[in-house]
Amino acid sequence: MHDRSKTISKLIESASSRASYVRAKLNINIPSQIRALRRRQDLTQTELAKATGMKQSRISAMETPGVVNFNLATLVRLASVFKVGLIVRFASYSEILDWENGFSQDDFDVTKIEEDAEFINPQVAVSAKPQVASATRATVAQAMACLAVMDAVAVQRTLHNHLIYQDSLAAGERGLVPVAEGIEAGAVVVRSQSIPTGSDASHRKLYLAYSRTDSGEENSILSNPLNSGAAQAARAVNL
Amino acid sequence: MVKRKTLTYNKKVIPFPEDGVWTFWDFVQNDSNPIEDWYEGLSEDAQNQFNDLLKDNRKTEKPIHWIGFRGFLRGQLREERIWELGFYADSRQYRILGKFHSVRKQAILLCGCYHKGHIYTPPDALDLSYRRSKALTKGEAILYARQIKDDI
Repeated sequence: MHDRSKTISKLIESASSRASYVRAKLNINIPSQIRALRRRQDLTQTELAKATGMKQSRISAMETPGVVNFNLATLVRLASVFKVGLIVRFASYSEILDWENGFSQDDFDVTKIEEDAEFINPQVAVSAKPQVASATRATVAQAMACLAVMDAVAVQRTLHNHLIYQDSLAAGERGLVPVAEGIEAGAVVVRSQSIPTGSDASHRKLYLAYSRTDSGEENSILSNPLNSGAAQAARAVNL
Repeated sequence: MVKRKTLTYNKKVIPFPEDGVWTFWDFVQNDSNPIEDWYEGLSEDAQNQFNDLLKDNRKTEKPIHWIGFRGFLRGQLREERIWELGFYADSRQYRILGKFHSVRKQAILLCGCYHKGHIYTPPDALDLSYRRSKALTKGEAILYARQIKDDI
């Protein structure tokens, strides 16, 4: 039987155990991310190899757990071919575990740079977002219509990407695993599994106001303790 | 694992994708679990990696997309539809030989080993897998659900 407390003690006491733990997670998750992004972009290993200037055997090795000791240069090269960015940062063990448990190769996707409206033209992206502080019924109705036709996978992906990469969240709140509870008045109510803010690890509701234009441009605003805009929008229609 | 629920909007239920993940089963015979015995003999690195490998792959719908999946073996092993799942740790190429259950999204682990220069250790790993597969078919062995450590 799995004795978690014993494993935790070992991790706390031993640097080599900690290194082994993190190394195992990276050895699995990085190959899985690479394969996920390659699949998402409909690339064969040969095509990815050609694009990165590597051999197909190297790509195959990179998608095999534990074969390649990745260095930053290689990851940057892959990211540039996939047209996505890369974040390398230290993290708490709970965040690592949350990220791993929330990750699925089948669902993992990252917005490519040419589709990243918020990055390409932040001023336009900001103004295109629903003015949730003074949301009108028409705006919320549009959001409701969009949410109604979105398939569940797209909603889950949006929530997941938004909460994981949302910089406006306080540092202790990153890596939340969203659990969508329902759609209410144009805002999807999302309850985090846990927010480790000091000693208060209670559940808290967050609101995501989401809209999609006819051209497919998607915008969303996520409320959090620092920014309750979406919550205001939801309240504006008697949520 | 992320819990997925259904969304309801105006009483319309929008189902989330199927929530099922793969379940991995250990081959057990005569009160002996050789998979768990093999696992217990692994280094910390290999144990961590093996656990995380199953943790990741169980969420991937199609085995062909599993990382480390090496496909079906040849000869009589292919008749039994035995495949290999591989990972590297401690500068070793570990392999776990298994097969799919007749029930959807269930995978049976038959034998753990490592591989170097076309040589398996234990040397009879392939034969063991074949015999264990046959034993299951004849009802001479049982399965024990492998506990995936998703809280660590």
